[in-house]
Amino acid sequence: MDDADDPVRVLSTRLAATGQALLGRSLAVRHVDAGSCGGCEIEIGACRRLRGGMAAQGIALVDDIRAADILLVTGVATRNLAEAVRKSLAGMAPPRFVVAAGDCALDGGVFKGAPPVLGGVQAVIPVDLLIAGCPPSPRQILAGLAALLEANAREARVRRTEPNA
Amino acid sequence: MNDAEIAALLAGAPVEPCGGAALHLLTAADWLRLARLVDPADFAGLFVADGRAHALYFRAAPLLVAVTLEGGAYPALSPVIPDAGWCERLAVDREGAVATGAADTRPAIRHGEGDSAWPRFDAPAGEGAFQVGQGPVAGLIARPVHRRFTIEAGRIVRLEHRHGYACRDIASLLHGKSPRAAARFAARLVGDAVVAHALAFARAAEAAGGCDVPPRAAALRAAMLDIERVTAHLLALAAALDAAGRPGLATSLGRARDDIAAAVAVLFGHRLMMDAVTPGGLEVDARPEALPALAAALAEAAASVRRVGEFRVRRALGPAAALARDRARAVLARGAAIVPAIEAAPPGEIVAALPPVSAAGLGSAGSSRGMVHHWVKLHDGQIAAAALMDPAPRLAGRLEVAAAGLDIEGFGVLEACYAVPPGAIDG
Repeated sequence: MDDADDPVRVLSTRLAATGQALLGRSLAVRHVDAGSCGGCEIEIGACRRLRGGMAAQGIALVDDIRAADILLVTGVATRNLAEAVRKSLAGMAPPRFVVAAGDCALDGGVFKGAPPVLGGVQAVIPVDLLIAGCPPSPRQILAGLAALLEANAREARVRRTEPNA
Repeated sequence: MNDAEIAALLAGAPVEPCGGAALHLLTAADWLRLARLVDPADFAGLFVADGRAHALYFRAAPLLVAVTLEGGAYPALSPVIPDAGWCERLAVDREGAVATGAADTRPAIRHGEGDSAWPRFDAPAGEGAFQVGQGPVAGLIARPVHRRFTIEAGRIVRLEHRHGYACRDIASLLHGKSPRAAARFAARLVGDAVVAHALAFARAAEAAGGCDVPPRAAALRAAMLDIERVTAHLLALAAALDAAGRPGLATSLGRARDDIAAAVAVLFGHRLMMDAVTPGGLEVDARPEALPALAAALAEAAASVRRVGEFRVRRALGPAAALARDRARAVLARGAAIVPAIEAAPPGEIVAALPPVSAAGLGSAGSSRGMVHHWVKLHDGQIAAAALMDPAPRLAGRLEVAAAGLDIEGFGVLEACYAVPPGAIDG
């Protein structure tokens, strides 16, 4: 892979550029499995181990929902877990973002239309960023977080230029 | 000898054809007699279809038996075979078939609405005992399951599970589809046994249709299954060591798995080998240029896995030490044979046509948790009924028993090493 395209490098560059943005230099991510086969979770685990990946960039998975900046949701939104997903988002302090990772979280994936499945994560809570893939690779997940940081930085700049915003 | 008694029992029962096995139709009395004769460890699954309850036993070969439902009920196996407990609870929720005389009749995956959350948990007995709930959003990487621990003096006295959060009802999605179209669904039951489930499903469809798989596809399938087992063992070991406070070795094992996945992404086009296996053969052929990277990653895995045998590591693993040793041995035994097997695969076609038939079939494949089995019934080449059997519901019951007497930290290590994904139970 070309260095310029390497999501880890891109993430690193963007983080440096947006260092003083809304979320600062570190991101706390709370993961929720809304009804997944476990494939996306395997790749999130790989994200944590990637050399120069999550940990090196100041992105950490956290246990405590109140400390989280990002709710990372994988899997289809099942009827039985919808309430837990809503409560997880409600427990987060703003600014908060929702990232839906994987084709199931996108729109229900292959399980679209099954009776216990409501659809993608958007069927339950508003989503800020979608990461496609079945499952998305660790680098795709990191690239998604980089995109979110960039968008967030843009938003922060706009807020700074508006007095009393 | 039990084997002779089992043979005598089966000899008197009518038989229906089922590809890959024979379906023995038993009376209720013989259904229970057989359960007492077999080794309980051979119980492999239970499903309800066509107005019958089916039990699958598996040692070297499958033994499939069925009993006709009487008023929507059948005699429970769980008093004799404890592993059947969760399977019977699942059959109530999925098919409405009741196991008469079952030890536990609470729902497995059916939930109520709002405050009427179901199943209810048993109240703690005795002064000083209290309950702690965990999940369905708990742990750094959450698992969609709720656990209720009853704790007394710092030790777990009872563990109960509430499942069903990841229920997608995959068996119903297969209905009316061709085996080729349905393979995508069967493969997505559980992420750490993608090839095992896709292969068991494909073998069931092939057995029903009498389809012979080309030799190259058969050889590559076996290698893919071994790769998946090695990676799943590595992930389970990494999770257990993480929970046991050995993050360094956990990361080494995890990275070895990630390197194998990266090589497999080139070799078969997907890190988890999703949609590579299709009924009739394979969708993709191996790309041999990835073999040196795979061999290097497997060697790295073997080096890391040997450290699981060190005294300090074994001591840290505590209650999971024996299971971890078995997983480590499996990595060493299977890992060494993978690359030579792919190199030795005979050249030729990788997929054969699947005749459109009306028949039933049973297929099996090995996963890191044990054998997975699929049963399919085809009507004019379309799926009329299907059952997906993973070892997970049996292991969930065993984990509940094994938890007794442990503290929460010790349970965390054991649970990580058991690696029972909720998705495999919820279906």
